Amino acid sequence: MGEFKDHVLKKVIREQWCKPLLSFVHETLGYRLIYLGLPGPQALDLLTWIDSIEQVIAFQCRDYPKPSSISQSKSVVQNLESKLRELERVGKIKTFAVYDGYIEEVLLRGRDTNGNAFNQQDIVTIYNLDFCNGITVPLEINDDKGNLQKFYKSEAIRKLLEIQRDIPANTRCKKFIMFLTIHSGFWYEEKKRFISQTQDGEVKIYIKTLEKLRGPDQRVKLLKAYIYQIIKNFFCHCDFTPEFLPVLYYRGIGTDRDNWLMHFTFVGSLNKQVSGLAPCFQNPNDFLYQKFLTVNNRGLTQMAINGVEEADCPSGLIAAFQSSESYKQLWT
Amino acid sequence: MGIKITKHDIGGDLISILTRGMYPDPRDTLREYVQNGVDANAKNIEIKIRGNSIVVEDDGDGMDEETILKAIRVGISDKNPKNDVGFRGIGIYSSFHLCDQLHIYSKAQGDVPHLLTFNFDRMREILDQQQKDRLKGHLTGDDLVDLQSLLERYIEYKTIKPDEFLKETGTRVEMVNLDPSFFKSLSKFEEVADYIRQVVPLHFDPDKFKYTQKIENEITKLCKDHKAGFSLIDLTLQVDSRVEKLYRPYTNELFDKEPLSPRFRAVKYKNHFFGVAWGCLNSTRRKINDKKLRGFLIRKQGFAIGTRSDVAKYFGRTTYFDRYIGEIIIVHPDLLPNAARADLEMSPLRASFYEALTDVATFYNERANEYQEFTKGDDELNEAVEDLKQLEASISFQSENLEQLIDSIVKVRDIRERIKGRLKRKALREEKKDDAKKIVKSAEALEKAIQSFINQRRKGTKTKKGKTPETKSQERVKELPETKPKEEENLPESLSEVFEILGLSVSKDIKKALEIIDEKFIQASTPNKTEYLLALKNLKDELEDIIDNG
Repeated sequence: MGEFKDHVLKKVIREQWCKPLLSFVHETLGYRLIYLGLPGPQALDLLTWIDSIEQVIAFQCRDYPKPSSISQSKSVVQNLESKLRELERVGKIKTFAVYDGYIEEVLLRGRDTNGNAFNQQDIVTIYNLDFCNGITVPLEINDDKGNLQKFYKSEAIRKLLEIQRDIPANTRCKKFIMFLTIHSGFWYEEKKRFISQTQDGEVKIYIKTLEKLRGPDQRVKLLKAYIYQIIKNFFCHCDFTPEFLPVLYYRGIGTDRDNWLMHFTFVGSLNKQVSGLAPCFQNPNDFLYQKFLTVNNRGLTQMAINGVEEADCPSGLIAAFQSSESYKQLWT
Repeated sequence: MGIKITKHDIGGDLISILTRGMYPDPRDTLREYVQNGVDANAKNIEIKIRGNSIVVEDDGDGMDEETILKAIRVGISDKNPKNDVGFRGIGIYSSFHLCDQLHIYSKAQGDVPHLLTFNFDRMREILDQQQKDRLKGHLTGDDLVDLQSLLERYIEYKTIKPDEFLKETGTRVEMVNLDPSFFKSLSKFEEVADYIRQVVPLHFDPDKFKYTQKIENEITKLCKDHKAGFSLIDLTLQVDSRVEKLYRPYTNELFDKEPLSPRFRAVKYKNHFFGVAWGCLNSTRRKINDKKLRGFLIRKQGFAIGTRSDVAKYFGRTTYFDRYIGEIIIVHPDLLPNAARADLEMSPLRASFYEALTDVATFYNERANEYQEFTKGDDELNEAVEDLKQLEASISFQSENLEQLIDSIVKVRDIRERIKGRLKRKALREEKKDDAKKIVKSAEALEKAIQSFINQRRKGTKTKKGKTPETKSQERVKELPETKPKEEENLPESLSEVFEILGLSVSKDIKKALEIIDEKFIQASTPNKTEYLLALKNLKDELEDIIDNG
């Protein structure tokens, strides 16, 4: 979030990975998108994608990574609001809202640090959840009764999907893109629990194949499987068929592989069944045994990790999505 | 000889004093900027309230350089009080205490956009500092900053590039860095929406209020006839990410079943025509459900003047007032609201208006009274028919029990007299009068039959030949008018509920006292639940009569 300075790799991702996909979605759906996420005080992602965006719902904490407090300076929140107000005034976006605080605390409490109630009236078409710490690290916050509660970012995702599911149908269809950026470290205790508790047969086999790997190579692959499992679970429970697009794995701050970042791209499409969960059409192995893409100053390249047989990522992101079963069945 | 006044004779504090006094509620500021939009012929206005800023944007005519620079003036306005809602030249400063900066972007047709920036934070700092210095004795009155210097120093004007304010025409007001203490009351969507619905000239809700078209057409026509300005606007309110189009607050649901068709009344006194009133009466003899919307609200060019309770006193008791939802629309150009929009400006015309208002109140009171009498009449006719049928069924013409027959005669006479009384008082709908006469006739026939039977019994004579008494009874029942099934009534199940149903508000202490009275006296004196509920119903009816009849 606010702490992370923009760097060239993120710029490459925004421009070369996300932007074409959002333009495609914008064109396919026939209307500009509603963004919900953590754009950061500079709103760089929004500025890059602005032609495809109509409305913005943003979350901005005051003093990352300290717990939110009304006594902290609001300047970063004000800067973001000022930037968005300018975009609104010059007609680039129709409207926006900025919630003051961490996304997970706003969603848990139902209101932000200022006391403003969180409200999502319309169907979000682009989630940009740029979490710079690990998805498995809980945030400790006080609830309404003053009790300290641990709240996970993954819970925030679940909550967002529930809200999206419960919004009455309107002129927009319930189809969306979700970008999720997480730190690939912060992942030790949860790793053990995940390995011991996972019930998914394909994932279990996949975990087994990773036993020969060590260190970050293994951890990052396990984290990918973990994210696959929770996201699939959340999406299907909330009546959305998920589609998992290739994962980007790239250098964050410093060179240590444990400080690298992972960028996931999911597509959600409402697919409510008469009874039971929404189906997932994608073969899990197609996603799990797929190479990461990594990012350098010039663009994106395939990244091989020795010791595991992996398929190359499709050369074109949009073509890959268009060839998916969920696109064929739910987007055309 | 006049005296010379210089800029040093008008202190900068004036702006703070004026705005604090005139706009005590931060929501008044929204009204002021909406007024400006309405005066600029806007059809669409958006209010966006977010964590640190408020934006009010309209699609009105916008301002050219000359107009926007004139907007800075204090207490001087080119607007015409006859046509414009805001004309005092102060509203632009209404956010003085609310925000740190006020940015006004505006663009007139074919012109470049303009930007006016008010640095209210700097102005307040100067004024606060000099207040502290004065308290310490470091400053004298002659050292204080004058209004002109204060404004010149902290208001900036410039033209901006067309792509910095992309609008054909219109004005955008941005209040930036809000004072958190004010923001609290502005961040609650419903509170702001309620205020806006009450004070701004919004459209009626076509989906939720069945007389929308009728009322809008009638008022529009009337205003047109009198060449008066009357605009309705589309307004969207956004608080954070909740966005809704707002309408006037009237809905069918506010009424018990549905509203009665609106009644319109010209508001006039001698040769002055002030405007028109509309009012929809509740279709039951009860108060409108929502306390805040009971009665009539005065509006001038759509903007509220004062509150509904200010109007109640012209209606005498509030019994009928509370059963209406309505408005009194002023179109007279010389009848002006005072600066706080809490009342009309003092003038001989104002006195005449309130005379006219008394007449309007009488008209609506009479209509409500008439409706009450009619509906009570309907109920009484129904009751009389049911009672007569019951009597016919219960009387045995073979009975030896003359006492019972005499009791029946008393009951029949009571029914007959009640209905006759209604006919005499003309407290019945025209179309119900024949029914009433039939009931009277039937009651008279029944009384006569019973009397004749009693007489025969006393004399020991036998019934003459011909139709049997039972056959005659059946014929009388057939002659009775048909009754409508009684509509479900909201019946109380406790003493507190009696008060609730009657719309009488009681404090917690009184409620507690009522519960004790209920338990110790009412419940104790009734043998079972049925009797208890009946006692409560009777009590409710009696209290209702007392309230209705004062």
